[in-house]
Amino acid sequence: MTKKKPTYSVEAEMRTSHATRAAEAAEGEPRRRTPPRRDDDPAVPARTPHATLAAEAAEWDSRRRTPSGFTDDDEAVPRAHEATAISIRIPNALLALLKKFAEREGIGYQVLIKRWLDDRLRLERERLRGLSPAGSPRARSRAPQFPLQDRDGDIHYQPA
Amino acid sequence: MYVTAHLVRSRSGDEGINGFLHHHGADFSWPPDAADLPDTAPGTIVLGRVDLPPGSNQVRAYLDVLAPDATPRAQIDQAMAAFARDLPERRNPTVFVLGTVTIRFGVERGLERIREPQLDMLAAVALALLDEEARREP
Repeated sequence: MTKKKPTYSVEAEMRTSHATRAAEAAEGEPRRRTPPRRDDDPAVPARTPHATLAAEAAEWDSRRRTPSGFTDDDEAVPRAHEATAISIRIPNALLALLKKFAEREGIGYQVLIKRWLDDRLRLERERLRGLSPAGSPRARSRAPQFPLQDRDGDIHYQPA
Repeated sequence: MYVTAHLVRSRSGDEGINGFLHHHGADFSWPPDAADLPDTAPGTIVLGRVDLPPGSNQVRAYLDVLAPDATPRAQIDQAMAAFARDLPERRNPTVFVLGTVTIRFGVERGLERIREPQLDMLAAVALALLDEEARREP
């Protein structure tokens, strides 16, 4: 059984640029177009259907989809290719808490875990070197976190 | 001494860099941890450079350099250079300490991928204020 070809394709319509159509209108006849891309051509990556994109956009708009479940891509993680994937069992309650914290910061929970591990390692390293005992004022010092607003006065910016 | 430079964006979308140089005075006892000084004891403004009038602007990036007033300029340059080298290994925002020089630097999330040029830009403004101060001194 063969499928009936659609008589109208949104994708094919989108391929016809506004400029081409404007030229056609001016000349009074259709200009030559490049052959339409064959969707079954393995050399051409399949396009995401408009309906799928629209549904995804609606999920972002309604905040049903947020970046909280995302992890950094290779470009965002320095030397990610030097990393090793490990498997670790985490109690459900702890995982739920981690996800809550990660959601508040707008990052993935795995990124948060790595960030907190990094924090602790730096702290322990400094403690071992005798530079900054855990709990000292230096250990508690924090750079101002964004978002920030400037102020008219001696203190030039503060949390917004 | 506390010199700060921050990239600001006004509500109308204009962007600029505001910078201020503060002195703490000879009687000021420099604390072992100076990272909180901008919020607790910023000192007295002696020089400023204002692109956008301060007040309710969005701060997109900041650089704070803190050191005792009599710190030689070479020591500050050395700390800045060490910090710039270490920056790729550091999180954002960050506090860096070398000797008596403390540096705070941060950029908002959208600028994280271009932290280095942001640091260069803000450092240029902050160090220019120190240069101007040196020229004014007899």
